[in-house]
Amino acid sequence: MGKKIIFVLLWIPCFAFGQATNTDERPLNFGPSLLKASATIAPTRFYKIYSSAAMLNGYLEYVLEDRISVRGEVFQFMPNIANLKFQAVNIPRNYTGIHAGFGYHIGKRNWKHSIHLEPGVSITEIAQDNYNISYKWSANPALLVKVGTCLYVSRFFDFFAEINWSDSYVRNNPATSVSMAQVGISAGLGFHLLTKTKK
Amino acid sequence: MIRIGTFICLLTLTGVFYAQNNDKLNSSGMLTIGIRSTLSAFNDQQNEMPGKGIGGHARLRLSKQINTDWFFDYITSDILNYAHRTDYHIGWSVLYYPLSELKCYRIQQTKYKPLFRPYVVAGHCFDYSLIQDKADINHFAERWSSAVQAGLGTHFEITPRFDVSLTAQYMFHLGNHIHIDYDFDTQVLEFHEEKGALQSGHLLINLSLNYKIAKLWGRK
Repeated sequence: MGKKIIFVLLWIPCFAFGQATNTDERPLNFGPSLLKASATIAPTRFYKIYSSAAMLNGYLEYVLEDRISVRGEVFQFMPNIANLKFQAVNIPRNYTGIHAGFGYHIGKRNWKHSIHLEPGVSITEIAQDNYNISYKWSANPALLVKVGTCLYVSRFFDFFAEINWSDSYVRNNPATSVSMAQVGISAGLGFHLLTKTKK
Repeated sequence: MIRIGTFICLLTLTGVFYAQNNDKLNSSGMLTIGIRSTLSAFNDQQNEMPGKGIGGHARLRLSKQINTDWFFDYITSDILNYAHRTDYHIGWSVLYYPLSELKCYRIQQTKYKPLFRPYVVAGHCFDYSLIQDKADINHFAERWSSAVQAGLGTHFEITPRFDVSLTAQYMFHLGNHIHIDYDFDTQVLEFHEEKGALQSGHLLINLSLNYKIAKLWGRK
C-alpha cells in the first residue's frame, strides 16, 4: 500500500508539469506585424484652463519588433459636452490633436504594458474677441505621452486602458497664449490582427 | 571533448554573425526616419519665451563614423503677451561619431544590450520667421534667411533598429534681424529690420525617436 502511495506521489508532479506545458502553449496574440486599431471616448481635463471635455480618440498601431511599435492617433474635441470656464478667448471652440510616434512594450505573453511618445499638432479654433464674433484656426506643435496596459484576449480582440497627457499652446489669440495641457483616460475594446503568420 | 569544442565554436560563430548583423545596421547606406520634439531656448528677441516645436527627419548613413540628417522643424513661441513668433527650419546636418571605434560598438554579445552613441553635429539650414502682433495679426514682420548650427548629442540605442536621440545645438541666423520695440504705456508694437549677419540665434534641444527602415546600399 505504501509503495502504491509513493508511486502515485511520484507521478503527480509529472501530471502537474504536463498541465503547465499545456498552459504555455496558449496562443500568442501579440508580436511583430500586429496591426491594431480602436476608437473610444476619452474623458479629458484641460487642467490649466480648469475645464473638462470629452474627446473622440482613435488610433492605428503597428508592432515593428517584440517591444517597439509605431502609432498614429487622433483626438477630436466633442462639442456640447465640455464644461468650459472663463471667456471665449481662453477656450477653443474646436480642437483636434493629430499625433504620430513610437511605443515601447513590456510584460507577459498576452498582457503588455506600454509607454508611447508621440509628437504632433493640435488644430484649434479660438475666438478673437469676447463676444464670439470672429474665430480663428491655428495649428500648434504638440507632444503626447501615454502610458497604458493592454490584454490581448484572443486572436482579434484586446482590452486596453491608457492615461494620456499632452500639451500645446494656442498663440494666435489676442490675449495671453492658452495652454491646451490635458490629462485624459482612454479605455475600451480594441481590434488587432497578426498580418504575418509565423513559419 | 570534441563535442564540447564544436559546441563552443558554434556559439562563438553565432556571436560573430550577430555582431556582423548589428554592425551592418550602423554602416554606410542605412536609412533612418524619425520624428522629433524641439525646445527653442535663449531666443534672440527681448522678452521671448522658450518655443516648442515638432519636426521630422531622415538620416542617411555614409560610413560608420559619419551620418547625415535631413530635417524639418516647426516652432512657435511667445514674446511676452504682445507678439508671437513662428519659425520653419528646413536643412541638413552631419553627425560625426568620435567613439565609433570603441570595442563596445564593434563587439556585441549574443544578447543585445542598449547603448549610448554620442556624436558631434553641425550643419546648415534655411529658415522662415514670422512675428505677429497679438492685438492685430495683420501687423507682422517676416524674414527669410539661412542659418548654421552646431552642437552635441547622443543616440540611446534601445534595440538594434530603434533609438531615442537627444541633441543640443546652437543655431546662428545669417540674414537680417527683426528687432521689436514695444511701448508698454501706449501698447504700440514696432518692427525694425537690422542688416548684418550672426546677429541672432537660439539654442535648439531636440528629442527624437528613430527607426532604421532600409539599407539602401551595401546589403551584402
